[in-house]
Amino acid sequence: MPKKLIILSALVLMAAGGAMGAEFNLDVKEYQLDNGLTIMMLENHTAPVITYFTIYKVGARNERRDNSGISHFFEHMMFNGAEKYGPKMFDQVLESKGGRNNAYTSQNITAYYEDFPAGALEIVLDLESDRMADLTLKEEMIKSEAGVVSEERLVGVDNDNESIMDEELYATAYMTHAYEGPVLGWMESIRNFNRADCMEYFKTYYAPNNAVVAIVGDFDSEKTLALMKRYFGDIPAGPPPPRVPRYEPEQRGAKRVFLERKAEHEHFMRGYHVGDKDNPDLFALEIIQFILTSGESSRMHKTLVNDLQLALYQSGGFDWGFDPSLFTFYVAVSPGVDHAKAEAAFDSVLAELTARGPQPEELQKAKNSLTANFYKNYKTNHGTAHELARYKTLYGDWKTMYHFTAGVKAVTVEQVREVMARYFKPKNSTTVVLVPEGDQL
Amino acid sequence: MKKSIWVFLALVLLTGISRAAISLPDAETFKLANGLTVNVIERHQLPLFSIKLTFRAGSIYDPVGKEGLASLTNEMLMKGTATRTASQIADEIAFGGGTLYNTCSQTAAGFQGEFLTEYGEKGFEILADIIKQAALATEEFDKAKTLTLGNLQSRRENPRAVAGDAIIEAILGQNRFAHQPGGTTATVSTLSREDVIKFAAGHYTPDNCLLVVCGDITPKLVRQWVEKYLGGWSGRTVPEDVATAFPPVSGRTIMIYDKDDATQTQIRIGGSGIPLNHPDAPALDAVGTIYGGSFSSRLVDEIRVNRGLTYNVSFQSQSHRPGGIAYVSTFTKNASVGEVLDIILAEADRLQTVPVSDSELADAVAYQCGTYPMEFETSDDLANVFTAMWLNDLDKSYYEDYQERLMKVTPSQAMEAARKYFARNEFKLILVGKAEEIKSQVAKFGPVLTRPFKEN
Repeated sequence: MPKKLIILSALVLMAAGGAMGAEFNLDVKEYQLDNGLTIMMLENHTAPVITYFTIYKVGARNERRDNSGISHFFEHMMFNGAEKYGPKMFDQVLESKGGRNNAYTSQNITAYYEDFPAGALEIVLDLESDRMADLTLKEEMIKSEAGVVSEERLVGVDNDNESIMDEELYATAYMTHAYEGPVLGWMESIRNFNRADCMEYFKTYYAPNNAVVAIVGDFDSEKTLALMKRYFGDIPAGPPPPRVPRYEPEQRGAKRVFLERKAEHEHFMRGYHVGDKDNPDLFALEIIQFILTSGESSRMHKTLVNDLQLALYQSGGFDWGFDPSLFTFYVAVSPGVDHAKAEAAFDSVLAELTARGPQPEELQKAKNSLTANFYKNYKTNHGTAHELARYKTLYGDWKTMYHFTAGVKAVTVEQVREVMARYFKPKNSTTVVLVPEGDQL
Repeated sequence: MKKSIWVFLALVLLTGISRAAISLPDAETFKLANGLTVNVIERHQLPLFSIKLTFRAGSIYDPVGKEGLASLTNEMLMKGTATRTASQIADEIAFGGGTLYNTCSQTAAGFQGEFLTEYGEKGFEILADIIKQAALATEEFDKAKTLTLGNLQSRRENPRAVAGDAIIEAILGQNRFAHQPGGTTATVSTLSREDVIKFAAGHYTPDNCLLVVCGDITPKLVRQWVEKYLGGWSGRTVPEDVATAFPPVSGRTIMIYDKDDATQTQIRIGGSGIPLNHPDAPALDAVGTIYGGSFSSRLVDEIRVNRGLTYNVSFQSQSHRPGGIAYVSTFTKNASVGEVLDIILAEADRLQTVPVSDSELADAVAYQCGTYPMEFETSDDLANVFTAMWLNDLDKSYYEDYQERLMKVTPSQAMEAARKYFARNEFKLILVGKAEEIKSQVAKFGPVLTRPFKEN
């Protein structure tokens, strides 16, 4: 082990397009249009390319039981035609200008991006403003897209053991909060969306005051702001979206689900309720995630995979959610090994960290790696735009990103121990075990 | 000395296609007395550098019957040295905020990672320790072999992985490129620690590799650290010419891997493609984009957008020096397998018989030209590019002139490429799904072979 404790606090970083400085400092220009649309712009003239990110503050947590999956479904519908650019045209027009795009939906947000040559900026603004203002939502496109999303669910969940377990974990761990539902939605729900559902959803959540835009790359901020006003300025603001009920009763005892499916080996997943994005334990949880599950130097890998050979691989993590989230672990148990044996070793790793906390060098290792990983997010226009939009949506201020390294750096051994004890206890746990069909439970 | 200048020139060409042209930076190159060649590319945007050490030691060098040896050897090198355990290696890398991963493809194997500049020397020290003093201990070998066998078994839960492996094997038969780097349960079971020691000694030598360092670091410093840590490294590799031309695909083979609980079928259909740097490459890329290479391609339009039968369908072409493969990859619910295959073949037929319009071709070329520079954005990307040039005897013009060659493709060249490389009359077809529900739908294409999913 290295003897020198390296503190990565004095990183010198050239922010995209900016000058070398002693601190990480992005020269972001931020504006809000009268209709509430937030725009963040960061010029980077290294290459004539641009990334344009839009995040709408809506995700699976905004759904009801009778429209499960509509946030993700709607993400698809955003590519199926608006007033000016009809069905199929979004992709055709953008790709013919040398651009690429994609989108994703989570429990908390829905994000869209385009990466494109600088000369295509105005076309992108035209495309994005067209679908924010006037999505057409044709019935035949809704029907066709339901088939597409059904196939996405079949490949991503129904025919995938790990995803099936994940779905069971959330549905079991939450009693009432919307985080219980899958982002892709239940199949019955996907097959029954109609135009009225989609139109109501569009009017509620896709107004400019519920969106943020981040533009990073080779453009002129002043000219681009003028273009943004021209393309987006006339889109009317909407009423504030309804508040999401946060209530989730405290878990009363350990929960457990057994699944029997076609499988080559046993698997288990474990979830613990932790806090939301504003939780004061957030950075300690980041440290815990790193120490327990990140890579071959993590405790779970060393114990379960390397030393005891009880698992093939493992992973863990949690979301920074608007509401209290789950910290989840996944373990692929080695063929021929009983999950109970692997689970016992897993529990002893948790117990050890709770009892003694991390070694000082181990804590420093986590801080150094998390700090390095933080900066790696800003290597590209795409990564930078994503982070700007994500922080702005979650916290209302993109500058919150600057707190990350200091937050991680401040975590103590004792704090890790306390946070472990607070959350990682049997009463707060939900476990899903999957065993091959025919195995004895 | 040239600085890390990653030059883009915005051009508007006569065709009207706007693109960011690329000019790759010059690498500062030097060679040690032991034969080690080093490329250094300076880029100082972030306090990080990428490091990539690559050996001609990929899975094509696996001895017959010992498939998986190259990959297992590569993994074993990071499982402890004379001075560090596997855990210590992982801890020291993470302690400096760095990463270092094993890489093993068909043609090459090695290590790739990223280090913070201020911790850079430690990265070189660890890399040298792995290369020069790997312990290849019995206990670690037993663990690594068991883990590899377990992961091979686990892979059999995944219909996508099974279909992806099977189509390559079906097209390439006994060629060295046919097997996955990880090998099979049968072949990995035969591997011994002695096999690993022999393979490492015969391939992991300074004259058989390239070291690329790209990022916030100077050639002077790299040379200093390379000489300090890798100067005393020795060994010689006897060159092996194992690559043989890919076999032609003739007739039709239809194979179902029967998974009786599958509610969806994985589909792969294809045949021969083109070798690396083949003159037909731009035409195939252009017509491949039109066929199934983008969201606005014909296959996506018909199968996904118009009919809602899949979430994803794509045409892909993979090229190596001795040959290439080209195939369509998709999935759909069991009931629509026949319908999807009809569309895949009909669209191939249309592109083989009706020339694409100038505008459709121009759109496809614009898409390729516009997105191409994004493949060269990071230090990791550049390390990969310089490694690929070394591995395949390419020069910068292969990358720098590519957009120009693409823009010269004509509709008749695109149609000719479709005729040569799109599966239509002769093909290999792999289906992973429930045979009872899909067999009757594909019987019209020819005799159908069925294997239990477990035997993949």
